[in-house]
Amino acid sequence: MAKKLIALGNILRAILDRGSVVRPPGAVVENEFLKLCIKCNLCIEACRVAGSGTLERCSILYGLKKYGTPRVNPLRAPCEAVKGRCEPKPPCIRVCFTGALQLIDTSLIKLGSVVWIKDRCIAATKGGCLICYEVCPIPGAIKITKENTPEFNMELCIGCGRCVNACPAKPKALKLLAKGEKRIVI
Amino acid sequence: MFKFNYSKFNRVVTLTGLDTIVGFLPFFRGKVLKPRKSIRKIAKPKVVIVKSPRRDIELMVRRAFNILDGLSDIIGSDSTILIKPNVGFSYVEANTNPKVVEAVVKVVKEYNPRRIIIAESAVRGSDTSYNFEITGLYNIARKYNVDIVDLKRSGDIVTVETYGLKLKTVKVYRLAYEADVIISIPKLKRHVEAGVTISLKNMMGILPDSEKGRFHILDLHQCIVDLNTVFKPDIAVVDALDVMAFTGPSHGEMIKANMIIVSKDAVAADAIAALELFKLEGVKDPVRELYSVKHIVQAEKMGLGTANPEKINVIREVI
Repeated sequence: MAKKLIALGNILRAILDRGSVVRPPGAVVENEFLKLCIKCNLCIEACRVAGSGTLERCSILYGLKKYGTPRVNPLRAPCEAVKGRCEPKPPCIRVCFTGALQLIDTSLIKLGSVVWIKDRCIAATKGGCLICYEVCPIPGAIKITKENTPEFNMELCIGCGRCVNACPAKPKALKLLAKGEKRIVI
Repeated sequence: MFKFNYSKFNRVVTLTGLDTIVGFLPFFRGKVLKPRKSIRKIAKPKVVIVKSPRRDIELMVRRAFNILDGLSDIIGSDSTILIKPNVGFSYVEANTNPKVVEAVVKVVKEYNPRRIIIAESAVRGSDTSYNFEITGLYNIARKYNVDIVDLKRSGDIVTVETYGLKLKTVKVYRLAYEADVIISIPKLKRHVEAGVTISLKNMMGILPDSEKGRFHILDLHQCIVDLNTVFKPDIAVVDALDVMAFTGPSHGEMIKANMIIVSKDAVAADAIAALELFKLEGVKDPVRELYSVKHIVQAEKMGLGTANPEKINVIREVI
C-alpha cells in the first residue's frame, strides 16, 4: 500500500514539475521566473526574428508548471547572446516586459553547462572530429588532451550550445543541461 | 502537354514539407549532377610571396598578380566568379582581412566578368550574415556593386559527383556549382584536426551544415581532397597579414607576418603558406611538418597540384 502511494506521489510530482530547464539569458531565479512569466511567448518570437531562433516553448513533458515557458534548445540553433549576433542587448530580454528576463552584463551570462558522453564521441571512439573545439567561443572552455579528445571546463562553459549544435555524432555526444547556471536573484 | 519540371517539383515538395516523406523514396532522392568543369593543372607552379611592412594591400595584390602574368587566362568576359573568403567565425581576428577581399574584388573587376559573387557558409551554429556585417564585407560589396550571398539562407542545394576515394557524391550550394572561376581567400591559421586551414580547407565553406558533419564523421583529410577534385580553387590568395599560430582555428596566438601568398595552383599555395606558418612558429624541421599535414600530401598524390616545395617556383617580393 505504502509503495503504491509513494509511486502515485512520484507520478503527481512528475506531472507538476520535471527536472530543470535551460532558460534564456538574463532569467531570474526559477521560482520567481515561474511567477513572473505569463507565457506570452514574445521572447520566442523575438528570438526567431532578430536572434538565432534557439528558443522554443516547453512541451507538456516538462511538467504542467513549465508548460509554455521559453527554453533554449541547442538542437535548433545555439544561443548567440555571448560573442554572437545578439550582443550586447539580446532581443529576448528587450521584449520581455514582465521582468522574467532582465538585462545583465554579457560577461555574467551562464545558461548552464555541457555534459560529454564519451561512448558516443567520434574523437574518443574513432579519432578525428573535434568540431566542438572549433566552434567554442570561450578560449579555454574546451581543451584537447594528449589522446586527442576534448576536455570540458564546466566553470568556463557558458552553455551557449554551439558545440551541441555542431556535434556530428548520431546520437549527439553532448548534452546541454542547466547545471551550474547563473540566475538573477530578486 | 504536361512536362515534368524537376526543380519546380522540388520547390513545391520542400515548401509543403513533404520532403521528409518523399525523401525516403529512392525515385525522388534527387539527381546527381556531373561536375561542370575540369580542374586546372599546372606543370611548374609559381607561388608569389609579397611582403610589405607598410601593409599597402592593394599594391601587394596587384604586384602578385602581375608576376603571375595576369588573370586573363582564367577570367573571361562571360565567366561567373565566386570569391570565397573565410568569414566562418564571429570573432574578427579569425576571419580573412576584409581589405584583402576588397583588393581582390577591385582587381578582378577590371577584367569585366559577367558576375562576381562573394559567398560563404559559416561554421556550424554561426550566423553568416552577422559575420559579414562585423567584418565589413557588406560595405565592400555595396561599394563595388558586387553580389554578396549568405549561402545558408540562399537555400538551393545540389548533389554533385566527385572523383574522390571516400566521398562519391557531395551536396553543395547551387551558386558554387554554377560558378566558372573560384577564388579562395583564406586566412593562414592552425587547425585542430586538419593541421592547417588554407585554401583547400577553405572550400568547405560552400557546403551545407549537414554535409560538414559528414566530413568529420568519415575522414576530414580525405574528404577535403575529394571535394577539391571538383571544386578546386583556380586562384588562391592567402591572407598571411596576421597569422594564427600554435592553436586554431578560432583562438590562437596572433603573429604579424605582413605577407600575402598568391598562386594559380592552390595545392602549391597551401604547401608554401604552411611552410611559412611553421617557420613563424619556430618548428625545427618545417618540411617534415608539412608532410605530416595529410590533406596537402594526399592532394598531390591524387594529382590536384604540386606540394613538393622543391618543385615549386617561389618568388619573394618586398615592397
